[in-house]
Amino acid sequence: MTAASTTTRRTQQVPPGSSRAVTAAQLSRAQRIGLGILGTGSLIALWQLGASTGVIPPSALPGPAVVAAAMPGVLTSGEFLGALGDTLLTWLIALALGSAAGIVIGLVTSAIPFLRRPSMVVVNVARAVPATALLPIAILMFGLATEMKVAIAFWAILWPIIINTSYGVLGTEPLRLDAARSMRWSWWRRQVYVTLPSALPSILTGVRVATGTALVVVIAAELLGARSGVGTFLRLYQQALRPDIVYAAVIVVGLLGALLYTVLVRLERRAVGWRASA
Amino acid sequence: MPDPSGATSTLTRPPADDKATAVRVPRRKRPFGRRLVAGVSSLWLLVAIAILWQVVATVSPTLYFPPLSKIFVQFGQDWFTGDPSSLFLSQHFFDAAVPSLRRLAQGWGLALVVGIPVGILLGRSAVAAAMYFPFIRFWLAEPKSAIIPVAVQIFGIADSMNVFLIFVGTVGLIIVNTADGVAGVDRMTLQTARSLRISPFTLYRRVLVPAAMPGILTGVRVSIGVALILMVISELYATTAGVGYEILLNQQSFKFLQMWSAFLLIGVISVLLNVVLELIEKRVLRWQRREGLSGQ
Repeated sequence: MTAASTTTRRTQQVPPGSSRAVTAAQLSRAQRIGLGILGTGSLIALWQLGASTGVIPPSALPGPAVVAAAMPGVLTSGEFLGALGDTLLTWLIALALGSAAGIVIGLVTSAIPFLRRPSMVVVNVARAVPATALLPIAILMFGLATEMKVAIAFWAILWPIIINTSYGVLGTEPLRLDAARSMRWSWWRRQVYVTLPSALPSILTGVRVATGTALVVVIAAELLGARSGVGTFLRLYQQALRPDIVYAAVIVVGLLGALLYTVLVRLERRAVGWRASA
Repeated sequence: MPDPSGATSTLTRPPADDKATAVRVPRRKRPFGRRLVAGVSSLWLLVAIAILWQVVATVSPTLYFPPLSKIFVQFGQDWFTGDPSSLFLSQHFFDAAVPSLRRLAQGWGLALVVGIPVGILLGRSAVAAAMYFPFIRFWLAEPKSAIIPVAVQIFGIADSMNVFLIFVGTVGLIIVNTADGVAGVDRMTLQTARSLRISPFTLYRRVLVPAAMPGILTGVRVSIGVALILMVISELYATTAGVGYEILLNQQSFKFLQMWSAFLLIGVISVLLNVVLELIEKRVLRWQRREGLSGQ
């Protein structure tokens, strides 16, 4: 095979860890974008084929052309944009509060030895029940307004952020701590200048994962009761039997989610660029 | 520096002072008694919170937060009043929890059956990966709860709706983690396999899949959490039986004790599933040398 004959040549130029017939490193950026368009296009073509042959009933999933036709209407409708803004604001508040609380709790509990294991036990018990299952109780306590959505998303992301923070803290290189101690740095100074920077990559990973979780939970809360937001919009139009609008909105939300994720990954790389594997 | 696994450290360690214990449990890192003490002492915060809940709920009763002791009693009554022949599980358990678990098994099982082969394919071929990863990334970023109206649109209020939702919600995670695992297999390992002229089938069975196993199992472990969440949300949104439905029904009829008992059941199910998966992972990856927390 060609793969075998090019093995020796590749040994010099391909970074370790990839070993396919065509490695990812051999694809140029343009090639990768072209293939991406080709692949996504093939999926859309398959969707169109299913819709036009009637394999997929139009009431369940209208064809891509119909959904694309509904897209401009959705993107310019004040109703959708208002709902989207509401969802994003809720998401941002929950993310900020949850991250702040989770990082502080994680740092404190893992910095104090006798709290370390007991707090992990509590965290693991608390996160055993999926946050979305607690929606009924959140609705009872906070009603159907934004507070309820924030509360449930806060609860959902608090635990993973605590876990990631304490993983980061416990993974601090002991030699660095010893060095700081031998320079007679105070406990506080060690926490701020040694432990926190070492834990930062892990904390940021936790926050990145939490962004996705928070969005899922906020939309779930909107589907199941809250009065405003994308979830409410989706529920209304599903009940009004307008699948084209529902699908268009779902695609917009997904693209937005992908965009947010990409931005966060970039920010994370910038923040912990000094760490080779980040 | 590689951390020797538990078995090796027992062999190289000087014999413990209590020889009888060392002989009886040669694989244990620490004597059972000391582990028991450590285990119990790590529970104090949980116990303290439970006592606080109990005291506050008894002193100033609120409707939404019944005392913990009553919740546990209700939990026993709801789910564990059956015969020994049915593992003490009550009829109520079979009516409410079993439909949920069946949907979970179907949706998640289908996601494993589809996701692992697709992931292996995408991990092996950079061209296929470049073609379909943009869509998979989009799919991973899609908040899965937004799919629920779509699933109801397609399937109506039926079991297949929940199964579909769990499947589409977890298959992407399994594909991506499997592909990462396969693409990350050490190049030297593959070249060695090639120079031994082993057949493609043997290559997959003996080299690729075992080497990619950590990645595959990561996908399995992460996806079970998502599957549980989707199982519950989809039942809260629209269904006629299941644990999520049970929660909603009890909330709407103000039976808060029963609602908490259903929360507890979901928690127990999720803990049990995670423990089982962890045991499987430990058994399958026994050959792997772990390098501390960050090494994983």
